[in-house]
Amino acid sequence: MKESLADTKKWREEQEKNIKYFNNISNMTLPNDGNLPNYDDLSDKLNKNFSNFINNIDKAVSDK
Amino acid sequence: MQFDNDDFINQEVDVILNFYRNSFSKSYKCVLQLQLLRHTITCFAKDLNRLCSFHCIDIPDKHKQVIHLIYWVVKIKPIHLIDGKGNFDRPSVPFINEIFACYVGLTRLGIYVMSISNIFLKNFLYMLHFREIKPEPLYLFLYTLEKAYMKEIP
Repeated sequence: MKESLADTKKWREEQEKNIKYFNNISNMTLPNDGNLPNYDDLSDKLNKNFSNFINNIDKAVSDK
Repeated sequence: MQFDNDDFINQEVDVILNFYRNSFSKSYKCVLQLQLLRHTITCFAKDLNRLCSFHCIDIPDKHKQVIHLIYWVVKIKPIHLIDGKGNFDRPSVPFINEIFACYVGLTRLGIYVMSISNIFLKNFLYMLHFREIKPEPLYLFLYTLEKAYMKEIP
């Protein structure tokens, strides 16, 4: 026998009682603790170590 | 917080440009295309906006910021080689944008780059250059690296 639309709705509502758990999961959040860098400090750090780093990189790329 | 505005973008461009002009450009015969750098930082800023909007947060974690920045530098490649003949005096020249992204990213993450092993650096550059990367799956990778550097349990 063909299921009526009303029956389908009833069946769906019955099923959804059991899947509330998934609805909650989709609202899951992740911890977040972000801030922006201190740009003066970052600029100093970037310029400080690069010459040593680049020699290391040349070696890293050439190493077999 | 909104990131795709002139204040944020100019600040980011200035720090990167300052490093390029003071240090990076001394090591390679290259040119940084300012238009492409601005485009790179704008894309980075838009990613941060989308991330904040989707997760309802104000400022994303540091490791998330860094991988989005690395991703766009490697994708848009704002640094170009000049004088093709005889320019390959450094073996790392083919990875020029990846090196730039890697160095800026790791330093921004608070990692002292000289403490990273050569084998890690080689693998990292290889991944950025040859593999298809997406920022989101790499959040955890950078988080783990950050924690390992700080000798904390990830």
